[in-house]
Amino acid sequence: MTSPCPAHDTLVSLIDGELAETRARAVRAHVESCARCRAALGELEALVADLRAPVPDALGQSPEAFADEVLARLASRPARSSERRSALLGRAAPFLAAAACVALAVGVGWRATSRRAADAEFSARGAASLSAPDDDPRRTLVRFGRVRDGVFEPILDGAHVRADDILVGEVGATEGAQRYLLAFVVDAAGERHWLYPAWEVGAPRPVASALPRTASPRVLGTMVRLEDPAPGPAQLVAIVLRHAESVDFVEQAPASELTRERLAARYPDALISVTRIVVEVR
Amino acid sequence: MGELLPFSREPRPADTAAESGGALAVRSDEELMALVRGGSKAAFRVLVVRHAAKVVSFCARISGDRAAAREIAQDVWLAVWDARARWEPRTRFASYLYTVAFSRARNHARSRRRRAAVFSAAPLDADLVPTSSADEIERLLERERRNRLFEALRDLPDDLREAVVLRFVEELSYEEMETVLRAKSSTLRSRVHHALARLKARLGKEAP
Ligand SMILES: [Zn+2]
Repeated sequence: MTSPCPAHDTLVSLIDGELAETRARAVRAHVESCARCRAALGELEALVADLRAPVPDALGQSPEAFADEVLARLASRPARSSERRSALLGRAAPFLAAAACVALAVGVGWRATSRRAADAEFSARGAASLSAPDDDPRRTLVRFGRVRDGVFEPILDGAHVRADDILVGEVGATEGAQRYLLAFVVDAAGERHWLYPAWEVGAPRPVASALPRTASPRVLGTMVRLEDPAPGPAQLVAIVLRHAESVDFVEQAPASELTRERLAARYPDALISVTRIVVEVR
Repeated sequence: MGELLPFSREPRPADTAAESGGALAVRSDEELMALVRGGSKAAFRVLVVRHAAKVVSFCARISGDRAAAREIAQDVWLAVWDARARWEPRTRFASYLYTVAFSRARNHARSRRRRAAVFSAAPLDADLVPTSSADEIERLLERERRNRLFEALRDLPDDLREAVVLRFVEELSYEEMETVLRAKSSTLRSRVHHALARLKARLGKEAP
C-alpha cells in the first residue's frame, strides 16, 4: 500500500519542477499518504514562499514614491556624460543614510557590552509642569510579553523567561503629549540588554524611543531577543519619560542605581515599571 | 530627497492622451518598453511602479545588502532608461530587467565590505501595528521569519545564493540561468539543491 519515502532531494526536485511527470505523480501520491513527507514538503514550500515574498523593509516606501524618485534622478542629472556618475553618487548619499535607518534586523538580540566613559551630559528634565492629567507619563500602560506559538503572553512578576524567547512591548493610554520609552533587562551579571530603543554596540547611542499615541493597548512593531543573558534573577525595567533621554545613564549607572526606588528618585515625573524575572538558559 | 521635476515639462512625443494614466496600466511590459523606447516617461513610470518591490527585493537578496538595495535598484532603472534604444522587442522584459539588476547587485556584493547587522532604529510610530490581535502577531512572526531567511541567504556562498534566487525568486529556467551565471545546468541544479538544504537546516535550527 505505502511506497517507500522518497529522498529529500526528490522532494526538492518536485518543488523545483524537475521531476518527470510520471515520477512527480508517484511522489505526490506518496506525500498524500505519508505525514512525514507531507511535513517535509510543507516546510520546503513555506521556505520557497518566503523566498518569493518581498524582503521586509527593502523598499521602505510605496512603489509610486520609489518611481517618482527614479524619475527625479533622471530629470536632475546632467544629460549623458561622464559627469553623470559623480552627480548620481552625490545624490545617492542621503538615500543610503535614510535606508540605513530602516528596521533591519527584527528579532536579533544584542547585548551592550561596552562601558564607555561618560562623555555626554544628560539633558535637563523638562521643566514644564504637566499640562493635563492625561499627559502624565505615569498613566501610561506599558507591559512586556513574549511571543510563543503566535500568542502574546504577558510577562508578570516572577515569570521565567527563556534566553531564546521573543520579547515585545505593548503600550496604551499614550494620547496627549509625546512620551518616550527606555526599556531594558538587567541580567544577573548586571549586564544591560536594550529592548527599546534597540541599539547595537558601536552605533551612536540613541535616545529613548518615541511612543506611538494610542488609547488602547497595542503591540510595538519591533521584537527583541536577548543575546547571551546571564542565567538567574533579572529585572525588566521600563521608564516612560516626557523627554527623549539618551541611553547613557542606564548604560553607565551601577546596577544598584537601577532599582525602582533609585529610578523613581531620579525620574520623579516618569513611570517606572520593574518586573522581576528569572532568565533560563538551556 | 531632491526636487521632483514634473516630467510634463519635457517633450513627450510618444505620450498621447490615450497612453497616459490608466490606459498604460493595462499594457504588457513589452508594450510599455516599446513606448519607453520612443521616449515615454509615463510608460517608464508604470514599469517602475509595477516592478519596484520585486526589483528592490531582488537587489537586496543578490547583494546581501538591504540598506543599499533601493539605491542599486534606482541605478538599475536608470540603466534600463539609458539603454532603451537598444531594447530588443522580442525578448521578455522581465528577464532583461533581472539580467541588468543581477549584474548591478552582484557588482555591489563583490565590492562592498560586509556591514555589521544594524538593529532597528526606526521610530516605533512608523512601526506600530494596529492591534494586538493574533493576526498582527502572526504578521510580526512572518516578518521575523523573512528577516531570518534574508540573513541566512546573505550568509550563503555567492554561487549558491545566486542560483537559488534566480531559480525560485525569479523563476528563471535552468537554460536562462546558464546564460546569466555561466555555469552548466547540472551544476546549477546541484547548487539550488544545496542552497535550499542549507537554508532549511539553518532556519530549522534557529526556530524559536
Ligand atoms: Zn514518506
